[in-house]
Amino acid sequence: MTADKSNGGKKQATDAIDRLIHEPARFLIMANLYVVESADFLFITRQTGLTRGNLSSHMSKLEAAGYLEIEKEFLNKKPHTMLKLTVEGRSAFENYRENMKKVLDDLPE
Amino acid sequence: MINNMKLQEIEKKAWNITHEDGIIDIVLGMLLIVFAVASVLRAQIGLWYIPIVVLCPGLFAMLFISYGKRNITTPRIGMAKFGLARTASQKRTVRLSMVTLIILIVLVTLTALSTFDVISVKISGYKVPLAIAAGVLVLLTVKARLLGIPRLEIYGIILGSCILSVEILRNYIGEPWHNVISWGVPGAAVLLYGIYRMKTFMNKYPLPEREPSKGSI
Repeated sequence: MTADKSNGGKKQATDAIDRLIHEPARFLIMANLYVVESADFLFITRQTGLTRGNLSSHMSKLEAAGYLEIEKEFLNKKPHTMLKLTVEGRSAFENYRENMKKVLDDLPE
Repeated sequence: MINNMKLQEIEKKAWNITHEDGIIDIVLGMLLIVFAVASVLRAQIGLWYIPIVVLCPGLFAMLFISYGKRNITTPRIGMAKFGLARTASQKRTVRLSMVTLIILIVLVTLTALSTFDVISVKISGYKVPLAIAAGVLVLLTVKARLLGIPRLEIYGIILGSCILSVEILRNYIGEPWHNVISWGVPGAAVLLYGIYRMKTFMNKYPLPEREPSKGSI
């Protein structure tokens, strides 16, 4: 009975993990954007080590989920993309961290 | 990875990348060399010594930093706006720099006016250079802490040593070579280090291809 309850609790915690953020590349993007106010496409490419295509595809997924705000502009006639986490994105990342901590703390030694 | 993730370290890494370009080092090295050259030419240039030592290096520093960040750093690593804590630190550093500049202008003006016998300010011994050296060290240490650039503390020690060295070498080598050695040698070393850092930075972060203009994002 107790074991069942404990397993139920763990399952709940793992279920609460945001799968969208859990993917390592997206996690890196979210973490790097979380620590700044905003950053451009090149900065995030440098910080995460992702290729441009890879970063673009993950950005689209995060944007579709409402976690990321993408602002396109032209600087000196060159396309320039600024990225920023939305309020929802910041809160999702904070929840993800808390849930991951819970799951990892509950793991047996 | 996730359990051990430290957001402060990620933020610090993001901050540090913007100061890897060697621009601050080059500016500081150039300033020390200007001090050395201006000191040698002090007899020839007269009171022009004041603007050359204070205004020209300040102007050069602002232009070089602005040009370097816009044309060397940003095109290679991109740009980021940091959070409130960093912005507040930067503002405090700017205020501190303004105070430093005013003190520097007063000190250089007094020194120059005294040298050309316009006014009489004679304080013997090592008290004044020691006090200035300590002041420079404290200022750069505070700036290093505020900006999170630890090597500024080392530059504080170098700059403080330069000021002391001028007074010590004056008795052994005499004018103007004590200035050339005291300012010029550390200046050249810091400048070369800055150029090395910039070269490493440019090799590590080559210019990227242009961003995709449409469709892929």
